[in-house]
Amino acid sequence: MTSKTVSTFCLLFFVFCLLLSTPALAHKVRIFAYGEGNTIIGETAFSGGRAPRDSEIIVQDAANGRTLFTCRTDDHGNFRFPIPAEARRDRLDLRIIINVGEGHRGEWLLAADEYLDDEQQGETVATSAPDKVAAVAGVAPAGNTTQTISTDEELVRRVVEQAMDKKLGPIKHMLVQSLDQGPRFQDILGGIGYLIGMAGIIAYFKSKKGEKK
Amino acid sequence: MHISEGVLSAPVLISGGALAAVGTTIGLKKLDYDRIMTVSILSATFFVASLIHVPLGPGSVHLILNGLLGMVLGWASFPAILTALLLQAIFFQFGGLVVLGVNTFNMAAPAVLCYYLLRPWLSQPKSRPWAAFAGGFLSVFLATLLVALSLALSDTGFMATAKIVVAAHLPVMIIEGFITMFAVSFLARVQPQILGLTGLAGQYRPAATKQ
Repeated sequence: MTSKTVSTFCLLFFVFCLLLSTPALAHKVRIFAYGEGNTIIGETAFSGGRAPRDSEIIVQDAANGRTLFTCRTDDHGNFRFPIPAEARRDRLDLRIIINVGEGHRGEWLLAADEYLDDEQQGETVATSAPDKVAAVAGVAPAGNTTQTISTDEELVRRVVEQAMDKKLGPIKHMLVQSLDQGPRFQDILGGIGYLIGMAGIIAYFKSKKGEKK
Repeated sequence: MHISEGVLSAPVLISGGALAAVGTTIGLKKLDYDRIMTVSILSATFFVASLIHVPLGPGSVHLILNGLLGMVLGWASFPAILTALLLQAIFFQFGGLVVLGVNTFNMAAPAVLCYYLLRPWLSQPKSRPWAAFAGGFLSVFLATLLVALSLALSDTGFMATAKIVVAAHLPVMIIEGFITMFAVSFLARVQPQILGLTGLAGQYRPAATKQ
């Protein structure tokens, strides 16, 4: 009887908490970064939307954890920095870490292919393309034509990539926002269910023991 | 209050894990299995409380309610908080599995400490509300100090971190003080033995039967 009162109270209390938390905000920092031309652009936020201002951003080589670059977020939790020369040269995968302090930290892995989309690839293709052309043609093409083909290809590639970046920017942004939306209502309810279910299981086994005795 | 993964050094993680394991063992040993539902419901309360955020300064802070758990559960706060944090880590990536031990200890140890410190006052009806307020307040305060200590032992200076974390959680301490005060007063009125105040309940029972 009496424990019923308590349970009711506790239940009411966490239902109250639940109601308060419906627009649930989570204390987790999310970070997202992408390359656009020569810069890497990043956004950070606590899940729920508040921006971690003036927080440290650490850019590391993902392979060995060596710090390449550090900067800080602006008032909106955004940051941008030019691609470090070293990263460009060695095509390094970057691990971008945000450290808000107070033990809050998030990281994002940015693979080399994702941000080094233009020049280097352009160069490799540009140099290989004429070879292919030459192979297909079966004759050594005149220096002049190769030059035109390679520059044309490179130009088109760059223009397309720029346009793609522009168009895909908001989509990337949307994608990351929808990916990481903090705890959903179902998750919260599920968690409560787990906790009470566990208690139920323990109580069940305890009662079985009692019966045997 | 949840320390993320990758912030703490290995010795801190290991000792935190060991301390949490010890606390959980004691908690489970001391647990009266008739109270298992209370433990799990308070665990659920703790689980949900971390999702209420108070926007503040550059970031935001959330309720912890470890004081309430401490006042009601005593040592059983350890398993209750451990389970809730485990689910938070799995579902929401709050904290993380590696830092689970440290986070559990940081929040459960102050709860248990306050339980012992404030018990004498909690049993007196006059001082009970203040003891409960102190329980809510102190539990958060000590938890922030432990967080700062964990961070300090890993890299940053203790005082600087402590100042930031304590300052950020000052409103939470006050809010939790009041929440704990009301919750404990209510429980003491309707259900004193849930607070472990059986002696007190015994004292009151004859009076109740006289009426």
